[in-house]
Amino acid sequence: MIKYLLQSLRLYLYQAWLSYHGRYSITSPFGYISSKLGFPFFLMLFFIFMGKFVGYTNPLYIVIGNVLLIPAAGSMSGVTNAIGDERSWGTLSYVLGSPAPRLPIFMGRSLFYILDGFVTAVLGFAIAAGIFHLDMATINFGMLLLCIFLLAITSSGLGFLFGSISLISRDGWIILNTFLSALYILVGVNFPVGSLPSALQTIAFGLPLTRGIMAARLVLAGAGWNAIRPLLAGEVLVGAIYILVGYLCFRLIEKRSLTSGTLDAI
Amino acid sequence: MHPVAIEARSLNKTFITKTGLWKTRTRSTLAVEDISLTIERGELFGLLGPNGAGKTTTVKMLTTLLLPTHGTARILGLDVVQQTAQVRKHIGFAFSGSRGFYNRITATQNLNYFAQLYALDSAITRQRVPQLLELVGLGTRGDDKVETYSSGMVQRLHLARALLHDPEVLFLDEPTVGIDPVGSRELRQTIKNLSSLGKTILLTTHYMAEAEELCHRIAIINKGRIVALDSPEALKRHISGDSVIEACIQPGQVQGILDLLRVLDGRTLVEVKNITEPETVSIRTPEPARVLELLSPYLNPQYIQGLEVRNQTLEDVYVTIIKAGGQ
Repeated sequence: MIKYLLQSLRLYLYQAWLSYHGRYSITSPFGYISSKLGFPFFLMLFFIFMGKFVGYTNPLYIVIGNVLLIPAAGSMSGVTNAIGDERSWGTLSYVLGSPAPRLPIFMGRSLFYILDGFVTAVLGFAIAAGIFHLDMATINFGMLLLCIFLLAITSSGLGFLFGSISLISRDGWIILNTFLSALYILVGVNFPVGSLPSALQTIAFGLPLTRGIMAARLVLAGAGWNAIRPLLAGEVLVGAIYILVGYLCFRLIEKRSLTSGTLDAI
Repeated sequence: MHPVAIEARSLNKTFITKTGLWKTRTRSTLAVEDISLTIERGELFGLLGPNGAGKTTTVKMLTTLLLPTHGTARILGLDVVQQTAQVRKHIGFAFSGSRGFYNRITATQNLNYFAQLYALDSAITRQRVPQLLELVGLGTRGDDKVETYSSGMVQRLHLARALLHDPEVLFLDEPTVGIDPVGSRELRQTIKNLSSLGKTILLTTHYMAEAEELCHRIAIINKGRIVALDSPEALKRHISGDSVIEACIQPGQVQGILDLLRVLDGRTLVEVKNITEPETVSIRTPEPARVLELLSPYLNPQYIQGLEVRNQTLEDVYVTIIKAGGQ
């Protein structure tokens, strides 16, 4: 049992590193760091100008929302591509034709994208504080980091789901992009979820991110652990459900491919 | 120890495809039909057939990557459907093509990764990966990214990966496709060496000379069915005791020579190969002496520039079988 767990852990970490390194190894360190700093900077600048143009009194609301979406979007698209690319690279037959346990292979696809998104969002908040005067004097940094980290993890569940879809459909990436656009409306990035029609609110609370973003906003407003605890618990639960559904979807597609022979066809 | 390495009984595979958004049409394609074969331990077995004949589908079923629609298959006595995990530990497989690796990392990193999928110990992996790279002629290129490899090098890397966990049974799907003649020869030697080490190898190929050189037995597969199965020599004997006469004829004289050969009975097959000038006429016949007698008055550069009499090759046998519709 211990041997199996150790093997799974080793496989998980190596898989995680490989799927990340394999996708980013063409990027120079300069290109990587500048993208980590440049992306949140220009994103914030865009929303501040847009907020001012439309007469927003507090454009930082949408700035914060969009910075909080960075780890989620990174994790989601990273995991989707990490799984979907296996199909286009023709590696699936060899991975699935091995006796390796499936769960660490599957979960390993997310680790470095989660960390990557986390780092980008933290840098984003540093830029927001340093350049765009986001007041962070009274906030609990530990709780903010926890919220950001949790957002990256729970959103990977959506990545697993879309990644699995992209194993059977060339449209996985298109579906993800469409869904990402919907997230801008649904999860409280640019305006509070409470301002949505009730049907959309129901959908919003069925998604990862909604409660996590609410919790992060509360932390930024100076709230304590007791205020955010139920929101984080809900976020963990919803995220876990999506990860589980994504994994089941992956196994189902793997099983189906044994009959249809479509897994490696592009 | 199970004496039979690969055993297939009445293996069938039908693919069902659905097309159309509103009016869905279902099409079923019978890719493999009633394939039965037994491959002994240590045997090097060839599966030959035209494109789309069902070779790769058969290999995919035997390597647990595809479920048969009907029939059973066993590897070393283990059922490929019921005992998938155990089967996978004992087999290695390599499909042809430039895909199948993480191109942005090195060959060594790729092999290390796949070694982990087979739960290879770190010390064994460190020892085996450079050995295998050396074996397939990539010893000096292990630290290069796979994206810098030629298609032939990727092909050789496929073989190295298939050998990582030292499997008893190897499935090689067109292993020399895209490799230059020197590389092909080296790879064929590697396959022979593996066979001499006792590995059971099932090989698919389009190259008849390769099959003839390597394989102990050959199955010719056409339209999903095995249409001939025997050793290369026996296959050549079974089809006929015919000889092949190839004559290089001046382009304007071909029709005259063909008319001349009309006196021969239906057992002689004449084929014009319009590939070069002068044109080559291939005559497969059970009575070569009679053909030579007919052609001898025309053995001068105005008519026939050259003549070669040879026994049938495996390629002749293969073409005959496939053209006859696999009967």
